[in-house]
Amino acid sequence: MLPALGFIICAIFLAMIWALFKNKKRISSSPIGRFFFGFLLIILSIGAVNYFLVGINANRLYFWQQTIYGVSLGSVYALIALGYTMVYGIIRLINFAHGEIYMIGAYAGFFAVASLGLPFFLALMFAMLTSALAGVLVERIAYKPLRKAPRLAVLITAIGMSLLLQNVGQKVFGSIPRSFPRQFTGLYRIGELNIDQSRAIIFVITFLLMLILQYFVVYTKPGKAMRAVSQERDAAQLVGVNVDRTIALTFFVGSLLAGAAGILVAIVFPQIRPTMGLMPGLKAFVAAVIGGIGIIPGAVLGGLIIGVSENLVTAYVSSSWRDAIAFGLLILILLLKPSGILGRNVKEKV
Amino acid sequence: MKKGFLLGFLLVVILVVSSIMASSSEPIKLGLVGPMTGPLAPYGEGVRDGALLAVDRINSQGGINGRQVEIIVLDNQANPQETITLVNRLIQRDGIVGLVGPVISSTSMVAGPVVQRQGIPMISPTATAVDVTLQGDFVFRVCYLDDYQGLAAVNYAVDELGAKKAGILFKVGDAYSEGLRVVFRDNFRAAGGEVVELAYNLGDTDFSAQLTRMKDQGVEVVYSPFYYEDAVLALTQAQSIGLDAIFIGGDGWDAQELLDQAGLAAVNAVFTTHYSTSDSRPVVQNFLSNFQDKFGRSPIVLAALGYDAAALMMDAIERAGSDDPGEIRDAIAGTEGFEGITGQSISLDENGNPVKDITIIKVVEVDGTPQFEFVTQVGY
Amino acid sequence: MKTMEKHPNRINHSPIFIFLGLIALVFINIQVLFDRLDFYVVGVLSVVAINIILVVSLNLINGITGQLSIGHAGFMAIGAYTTALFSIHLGTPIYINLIFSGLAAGFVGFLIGLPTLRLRGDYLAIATLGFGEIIRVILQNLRLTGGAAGLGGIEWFDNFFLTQFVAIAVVIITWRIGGSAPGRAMVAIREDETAAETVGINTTKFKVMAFALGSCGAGIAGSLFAHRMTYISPDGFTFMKSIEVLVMLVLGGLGSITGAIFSSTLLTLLPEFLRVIDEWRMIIYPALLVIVMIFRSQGLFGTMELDFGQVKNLLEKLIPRKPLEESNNPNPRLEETVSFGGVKIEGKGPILETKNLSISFGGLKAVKAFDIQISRGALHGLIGPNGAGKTTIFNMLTGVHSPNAGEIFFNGERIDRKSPNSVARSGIARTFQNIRLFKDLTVLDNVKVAFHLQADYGLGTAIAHPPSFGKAESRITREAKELLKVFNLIDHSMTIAKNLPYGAQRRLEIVRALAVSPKLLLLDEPAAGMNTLETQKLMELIRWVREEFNLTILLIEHDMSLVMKLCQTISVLDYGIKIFEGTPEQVRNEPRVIEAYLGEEVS
Repeated sequence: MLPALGFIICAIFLAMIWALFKNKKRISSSPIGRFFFGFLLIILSIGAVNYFLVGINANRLYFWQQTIYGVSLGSVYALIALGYTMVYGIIRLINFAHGEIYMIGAYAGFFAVASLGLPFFLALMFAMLTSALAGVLVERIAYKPLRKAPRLAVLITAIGMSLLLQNVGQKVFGSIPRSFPRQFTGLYRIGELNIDQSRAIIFVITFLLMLILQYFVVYTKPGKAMRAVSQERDAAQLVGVNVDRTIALTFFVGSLLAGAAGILVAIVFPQIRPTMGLMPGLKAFVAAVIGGIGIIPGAVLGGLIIGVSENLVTAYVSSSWRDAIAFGLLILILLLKPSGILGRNVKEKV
Repeated sequence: MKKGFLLGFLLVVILVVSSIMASSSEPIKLGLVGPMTGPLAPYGEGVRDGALLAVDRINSQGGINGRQVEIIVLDNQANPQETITLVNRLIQRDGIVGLVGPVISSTSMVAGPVVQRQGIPMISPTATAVDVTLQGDFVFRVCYLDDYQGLAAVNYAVDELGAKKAGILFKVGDAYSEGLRVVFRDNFRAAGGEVVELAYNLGDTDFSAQLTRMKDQGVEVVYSPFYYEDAVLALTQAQSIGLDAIFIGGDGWDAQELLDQAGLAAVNAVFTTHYSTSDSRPVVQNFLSNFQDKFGRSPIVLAALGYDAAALMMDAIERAGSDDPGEIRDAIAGTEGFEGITGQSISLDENGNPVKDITIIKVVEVDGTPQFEFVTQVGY
Repeated sequence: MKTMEKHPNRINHSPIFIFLGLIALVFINIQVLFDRLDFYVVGVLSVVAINIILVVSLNLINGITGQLSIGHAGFMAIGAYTTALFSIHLGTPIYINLIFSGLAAGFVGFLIGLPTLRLRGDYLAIATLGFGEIIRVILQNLRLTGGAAGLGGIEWFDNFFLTQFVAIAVVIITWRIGGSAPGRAMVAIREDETAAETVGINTTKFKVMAFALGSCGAGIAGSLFAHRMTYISPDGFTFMKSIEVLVMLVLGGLGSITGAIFSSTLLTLLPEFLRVIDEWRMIIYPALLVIVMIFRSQGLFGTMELDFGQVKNLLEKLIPRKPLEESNNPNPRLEETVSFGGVKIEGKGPILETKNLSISFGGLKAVKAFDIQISRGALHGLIGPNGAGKTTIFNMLTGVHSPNAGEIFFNGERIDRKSPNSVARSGIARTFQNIRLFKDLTVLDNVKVAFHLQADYGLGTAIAHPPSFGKAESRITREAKELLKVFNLIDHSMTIAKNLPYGAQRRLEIVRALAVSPKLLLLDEPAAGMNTLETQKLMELIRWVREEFNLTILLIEHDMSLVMKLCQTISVLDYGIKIFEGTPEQVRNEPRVIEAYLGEEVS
């Protein structure tokens, strides 16, 4: 399976680089293009760090191994961050309950595999759909009645929903962690680097989902409606966009991805619990802000940056400083470029 | 709307103010405080179930000196501030004569001064931080200290496994984990060994960075002072990256789930714990079967400690022959040779800490499935 | 005070409510004093008091100043750890620890606030979240703070009376800040940051001040907390703790101090009653929260105290005071009684001069090499088609945008690198094309805010309330009312600004600008949306204002008849370039101007 996947990735990369040279301006102005700029930049800077700091007295293999782990962790953040970024983009809400949607995805996947005995990819679909329905339900129950309310009220509602889902989860699923049946235990070797099959799958699926999402948002009609609503809700309504349905659709799609993240994370770190959503949820939001909130490739870029830097900090400093680094990075970005790496600064109109 | 708020507010005030309860009824009241909701709920529930079993047993035997025992369980969500409120409530409202718990060290740290001031004896089943019992002469515990557990682990690593280089994987911000880490590190170094310490955070599920680094450094044993959920992840991830050092865990590893979830990845790991289910003493076997009967599942190890804490408390009440908290305290302090599940003969030292044996258990493979095997008991 | 209008969205103030609260307080105190309550109840009451301190201090940041902070637990942690270290190593008593903990937390709040408060809204929220977490992680890693194991052995001190006293003190201080010039500045920042700057409020200063004060309150709460717990560890100060405080605040109603007190009491006591259904408590609690938010999203008390004028009225009702100064001048006539800060036309040279002023937005050159000289006392018009860059020039003159090139001299002093508030201080005030009043404040408060520069007392005075404070405040109120009278707005002084009729809103904006006591007044399309009659009146008003206040006026206007009749000199702008300048007569006959307005009527 891997050679095929590797081939696909290489092809995508080559296509992007080719496109880059063919039409410089267009690429640098499209978010996807900038994403790839950013991605190449990360790889290059990681390489540079490796060369200058690490290469001198330590094991480079270890360094790259950690980077790979970081990328797979970052992919999970990225998937969750996509939902955050879409929801924020459309209704300017930090949807704190999103982490719990991810948790629901993990449990749905667990029951699909462990109880229903579904094959993995069907379980993935099942988890995604369950999460998506849960996400839409949360929107319908808690956020829709508050469409005209002060934003802080909606934020508090989101926090309330997050706590509620977490505690209902503890009642329904039990507070004892469940063990996800092992999947994809294979190991690939590239040179001396180990890549677990499960981690490779996380990365590839994240990547494909991001491309599909970008296509959906940019080229399809509902996607265009989403962008229209996120830019100017009233105007979108005037030109005939069903705003409520579009917002529900955004929650559906965002939660779909969180569900995927839930089951994907469970195949690498096979333990799920009702409180698993809190930290990844926060980190994913940080990722979305770092990449530029409201921008789809930005969420993925932010997720990868956080994943990789967290793993490198864990590997070379100490994981006790890890959370400080993630949030420190966040503050740095906010102070230097509040709109995020891929975002555009907007001047307030006076 | 406004009237509603006003009424509500008044109601609250009146309720708070007017409810001054007194009057002790017939049963002897004990209190138990621990996390029953939240991420630490499994431990709180384990302790609770063990304690309930102990109380049931006494009551079915006619109670203490003819009086039934009632144990009031409250959920503190492992929150220290909540714990103070609850302990005060149990003492002032419910009129408990003794407190079983709290379960977590940090909550026991704040509960200690509260019971001390009000002169109610407290036996923590599971708080292993050294300082807990130093807060006053009303504070006791039935679990051994982190120090002894860590020391036993070092002795096993050095004497039995001949390890020269050890890794420690510990959980940042967790008093239990960090306490054991320090004991192991200092004693292992004192024994001439080399130590690599790596940390992880609450909620982490990915230890591959730390484990790869340990493999890189060529450690022979990995001391892993954390609970079994994380142990499962560490063991499976160690297997997948090909780290073949022997894992040494603490009492947090003692759970059937470790075997169920980690599978053969757990084989060869050892851990220190409180008792062995293969112990043939009737008190242990009765506990196991009664627990199974009452709750329909096998107990987690903390349930045994909950049982012992409650049993010791009731034993002391019986010995004191009174429900006066001061006399109960004296009786607890004078405990000698109490037979519990976690020790054939438990005595309490001058600080209120138990003197008993530590059990070491190893995971072995039997017919393709992992199983716990009793290795040894070490005194100290 | 004869015109007390009720805002429809507002719960009517009921003194009886506060009265009942006070009775409850006294009742509880008597009970505690005579040992009628047990440790448990008194302990819960102490928790209530600590929570009130936390919520009320957060209210200063989130509610009054409108800066969304969700990292309050971090500052509480700093206070708690300061107390712990002092108590353990120095053995200092709680009174000293309280002060130092407050100072320490306030200082860290100041350090963090300085760079962070440049951010707005959700971004600020996330940054404060980040800082809160970073503080916790640092505490977890420092040897000094005992790492994850925390610090034990803090002297036990859990005296309900002290905790209650501190809580009441914090409430009173917050209340007093709210009713003072610094408090009005903070509210103005919440309402409209740009407008606040243009009336001379140093928004950065007051944001940082509010943040530091709020953090200080959290530190004090942390100190009481540490003395009560005797043992603290970093996991007591997680993100969830910050959220808990925020929830209490929002449930009570953001910006409402009484709401904050009510909801922190309710949310601390409620779980105690819900213990009967212990198992379901953690499901019911968030569910209730969601339900309350859905059905009453402004919080239980709404924005009941957003308007400090009403609170003051309420207090005046409760505690009878000397009636307001109105009796001093039963029938004041402007000319005799008041001198507004306007200065006599003095000095030499033009009052305003720009050289080569240019700015571009993302490659688009909005204004190119703009030169203008405005003589003292002039009524100067600035006209041009839509998008010609007129408002952009106003923005540069007032410091809202900084020019890419060129210089601005005001009274011979270079001002083009100054912040909007210091430009306002040096004497330039403005109105906005799209009216930017402090919408949710009363008309009177809108003007009082703008008297900010004349409130010559500091935060200490605001808190301590010495006689000078009362004098300064009544002077501000008097002058504000005088101004409102002159502009025929006095009957609306207690109306919420956004409920004013359109023309009155325009007038109020001019009043607000005049309250800054400017030497130069910039009016951005004052006649927009007015009918002929209103325009006529406005024209007279502008003329009169210039005479009466000794002003120089620069005016942007599309209503040509108004500009032609009113102004002595007119500059014409097209595509960011000044194409002509001259008298109305010259402008009317200039072909370039007619060409620029192609299709537009030049009468």
